[in-house]
Formats: sequence, structure tokens, C-alpha cells
Amino acid sequence: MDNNDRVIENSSPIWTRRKFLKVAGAVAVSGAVTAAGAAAEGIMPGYFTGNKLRASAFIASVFGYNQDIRGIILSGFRELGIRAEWIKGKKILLKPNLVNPQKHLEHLYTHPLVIRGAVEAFLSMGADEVFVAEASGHGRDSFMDLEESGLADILYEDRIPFVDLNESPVVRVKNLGQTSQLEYFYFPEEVYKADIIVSIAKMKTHHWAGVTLSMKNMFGVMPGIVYGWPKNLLHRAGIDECIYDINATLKPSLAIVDGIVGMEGAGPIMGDPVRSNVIIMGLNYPAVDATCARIMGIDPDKIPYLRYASRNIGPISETNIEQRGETVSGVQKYFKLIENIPALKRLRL
Amino acid sequence: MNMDSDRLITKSIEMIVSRSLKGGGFAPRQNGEFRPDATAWSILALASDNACEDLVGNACNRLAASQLNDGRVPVAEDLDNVYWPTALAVLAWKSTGGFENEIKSAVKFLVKTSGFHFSIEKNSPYGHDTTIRGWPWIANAHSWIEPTSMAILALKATGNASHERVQEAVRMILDRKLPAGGWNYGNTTVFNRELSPMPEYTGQALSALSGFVQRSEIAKSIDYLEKEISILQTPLSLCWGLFGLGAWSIKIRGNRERILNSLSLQQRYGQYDTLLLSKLVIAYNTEGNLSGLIMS
Repeated sequence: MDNNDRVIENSSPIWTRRKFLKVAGAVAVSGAVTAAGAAAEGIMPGYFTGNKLRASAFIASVFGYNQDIRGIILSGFRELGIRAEWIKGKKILLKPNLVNPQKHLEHLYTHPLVIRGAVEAFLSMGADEVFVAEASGHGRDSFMDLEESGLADILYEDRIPFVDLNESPVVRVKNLGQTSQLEYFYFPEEVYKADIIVSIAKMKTHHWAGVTLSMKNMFGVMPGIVYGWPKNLLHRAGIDECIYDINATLKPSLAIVDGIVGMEGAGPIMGDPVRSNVIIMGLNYPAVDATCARIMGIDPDKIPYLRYASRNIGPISETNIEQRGETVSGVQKYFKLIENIPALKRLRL
Repeated sequence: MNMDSDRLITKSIEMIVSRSLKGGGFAPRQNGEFRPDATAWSILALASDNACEDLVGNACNRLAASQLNDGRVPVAEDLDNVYWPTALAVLAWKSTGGFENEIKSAVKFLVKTSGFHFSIEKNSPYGHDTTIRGWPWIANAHSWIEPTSMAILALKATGNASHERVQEAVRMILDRKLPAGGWNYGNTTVFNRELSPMPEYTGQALSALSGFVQRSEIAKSIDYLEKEISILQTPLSLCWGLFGLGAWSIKIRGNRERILNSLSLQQRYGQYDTLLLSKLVIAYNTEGNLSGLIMS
């Protein structure tokens, strides 16, 4: 890791979101507010540093959900330079992908054992609290989603709290991305109670966005009580633009992508399972997603929201991403694409 | 009711009551803030139990105070465009009597409001007719199953069943029915791939369609829901499953035990929010006959 990397990657965990709230002092519940956003840029040094941005992504080979996922995630922390003092005493929000889960169709959702592994890894590093939060995009029955995905058992056994972000009180925040025409976003206040937000995404193709990985997964924090089921307004405002804007505004901290079994073809719901046997991690979402895309045989430069993100959130070009762990070529598994779906057309590397 | 079930339902009602607010209305959670949907469902739950008339009256007044001049009831004070609770407010006011002006104004808003609709393009990725109007969750969005179903129920309950908007919305819901039966949030096929039904939306659609279509038109959807209901435990899906089948006079054996079982799952999930508790109380007290409660 060179000095540049260290500055960039250290910045986010040091400046916790709770500190951010204290500094910004302008976020209020139920939308009575304003300018949280404007202050954010100043307190995340290195986050918006343009094309020079470099970052690391860690790739681990994982040959099944019965592997020691906690150990793999801890290795990722070490490789990425994530130290215990950044996690100790912090409140961690884990955001899985739980869209339309159906029992035993493990290519649809973040596997519960990956979530358990992450919970254990954070707790072993001294996290004060770890909770799982999701705002399902298609249905309002979040308990059903937890049961169907198998996550309910894990949360119950491990006594991990779950927050339904769809029903949470909301906070109005200025859209810092300004790529879509939405002036503000309404985020669940729970996301501002966390110090560290972790997108625990699934590696899938996506019929509107090309791929759904750590950045698209953050779409799933948007509260249904404001945006509905589905979150149609955000689609109308431009799905790629909103993905970029949401990430540029929220600035989540860490990405973990479950690519042990992913989804190819007509993702994110109607595609087929594909075994890639990887977990990808990193502190920079575009770098992680670009790495995942390459593993899937997809050119990240052809994904519009990754192109937006490469302007000022993080690098997507291979030369600016330091690959830790396995190499892309060593684990590459081309995902099936469907040419009559425009977003999946001509995405190949 | 035996003693155990009596205790669980009473406790649920107490829990709902404990979330009532000084200024009237209900919060979705303990120590939460006013939300019109939580308030409307609480009013319906207490009405189904003939309980707490004072609280219900205050809650109706609070709903009325949150109504804007054009009749809409937004989800929060500064979210005028998020008006999906309007239909729920109508159902709540209707269930208690009075509030004629508020109902009239809300109905006026509903019949003049529709979402974003667009002509069907060649090679459209969507399988449904995007021109048929129902109701959206939020201004400038497309029509979806839940807000449309709730608006139909509200308009039906207020004697507007024959309104052209209701007739069009019935067509919309039928158009969104999945080929194999049932509904999800409101897409049938996307890029020629059929999506799966979901119990909550199927229950809502069946509730809304009752009295408008022949049973043969929705037979496959009833079959789907009857099969599903045998395994449903989670409160939202279970309640809407019972409401949907109840609207077609289909009683599920052991329905009250299922509701009590769902209530007892709070040991696993933690305390339910006010909306879920209210639906479970209504489902229990009416034995799934939500339509009977709101049409009475």
C-alpha cells in the first residue's frame, strides 16, 4: 500500500458517522432539515480527490458457505489495513441484499452465513454493537424476507438486532451527488446512528443497472414509507444517477461482496445461480465493484454508475486498484449476459 | 376466547394504546412520533374491539389535523408528495362515523389524483398495460398494487364504487394479475420473465376486487393464497392473506390460532410495530373480515 492509499482508506473509518452528525449538527428527524451534506465533504478528507484516487480491493477464494468466513473477513481487514482501533467501540450497520428471497435459492440474497461471519469479525475486533438493517424494495413483510433467506435463524441464535429501514423515521439530507435531479434524499435515521456502514452485497447481474454489487445494494437503505414499494421514484429519476448520488451522499465505509454463489443472466431476481467462490472486500466501493465486475467478465467502464463514481468517489481502472489476496484472472468466472436486455448488452470485457 | 388468547389480544391492544400520543394519534413504535398510517390502523383495530372511544376520537381528530387543504393526508408534515396514507385515513374516519367533510375532501383528492402513466412502447420491458391508472405511493410515480387496492377500498366504503376511477383501477389490478395467479407489488413480467406472486399483495388485490369481479376471474389467485396461507406465519402476510380470502367469504380453519401464533412470534422478532399489531387484532376480532369492518 502506498501513502496515497493509506490517506484515502484511513479517512472513512476514523471519521465516524456519529462524529459527522455532531460536526454537521444539521440533520433532523422527519425531514425538518437541510444541510447535512454540505458539511460532509469537509470531514472526509481524501474521499473526493478526483482521478488520482487509488484504492485496494481484497479477493478471497471461498469454496462454500461452510468455510471459516469470519476468518476470511478478518484476513481481509488485515490486507486492507483495517485496524482494531477503528472498529473498537463502534456501532456497525450491516446492509445485506435481501431482495425477494425465497427459501434455498441462495443466489438471490446475501447468504446468512456471510452475515454471521461479518458480525463475528466485527465483534472480535471490539465493535460495540453490530446490527443488520434493510429496506426491502419489493415487499413490506421484512420478517418474511428474514425467514425465507434463513437470516432470521442466525439473528435469533446470535441475538443480533434487525432494523426494518422501510419503516424507520427519516432524515432529509441534501443530495451531494447532484447527478439525478433529486435535490434531497430521505434516509432512515438509523443509518445516521451507525458509525460504520457496511454494504454486504451479492454478486449479481441486474436488468436495469448491469450489475448489482456494493453500490447498488445501498439503494436498499431507501425507506419504503417515502419512496414506496418498489422505489419507483428513484428509478424514474435515473437508476444509475441515483445509485451514484446515494453513495456520494451517504459515503458508506466498507464493502463485502458475497460472490460464493452469485446470479447470472436476468438478475437481480430472475437469473440463474453461478458459483464464483469468492468474497471481495474493500473500503472503496467503486474499486470493489469494478473488481467484482472484472471477475464477472464485465467491463466496469461500461456500467454508467461506475463511470460516474470514477469521477470522484473511487477508481475503476485496473491500474488504480491494488489487488490484494487472489488475482482477478485467478478467480475470473464469466457471468452469462442476456443481449436482449439493454442494460446487459455489450458489457463484456 | 380462552384465557390465553384473551390475554394475548388484550396485551396487543394495550400495546397499541401505549403508543397513543398526547396530541392524539398513534406512533408506529413506543416513544415514536405521529404517523397517519399507524394512526389509521390503530383506529380500525380499536374499532374492531369496540375499545377506547376517547382515544379513537382524538386520533381521528389528529388525522383530520394532518389533512392538507386539497384533501391529501401525507405521511409526514413536510412530505406533501407522499400521500399514500390518504385512503387509510378515509377508512379510519369511516369506521368511526362523522368526519364527513374530511372524507369528502379526501375522496375528491383521490379521484383527481393518479400517478405517472405512459403509453406502451414497442419492445417495452413491462408485461402490463402502463396506461391504465390506479394510484401511486407518491406523486409522479407509477400505480402499484397496494396504494391502488387501498384507494379502491376507501372509495368503495364511501359509496363511490361506480366511479370511473374505481372501475379503471379494478381493470388495472386485473391487468397486473400474474398469469399463474396472485399479485406482487405490481409487475407481471419484465423482459418476458414472469415474476412471482406475494401473499401480502395478493390479499390486498383480492380485498379490493371483491364485489367487482366474478370469482372465476380470480380463481387461480384464490388457489394460490389458500395454498400459501397454510404456511404463512409472519404477521403482515398472514393478515393480508386472511383479509383477502375473507373478502371472498373463505374462512380458514384455525385462523385465530394462527393469529395468536403470529403474535407469539414476537419472542423471536421483537415487539411488533403498531401497524402489525393492529392488523393482527383486526384479523382476530373480525376473523379475517376486514371488508366487513370497513364497509359496516
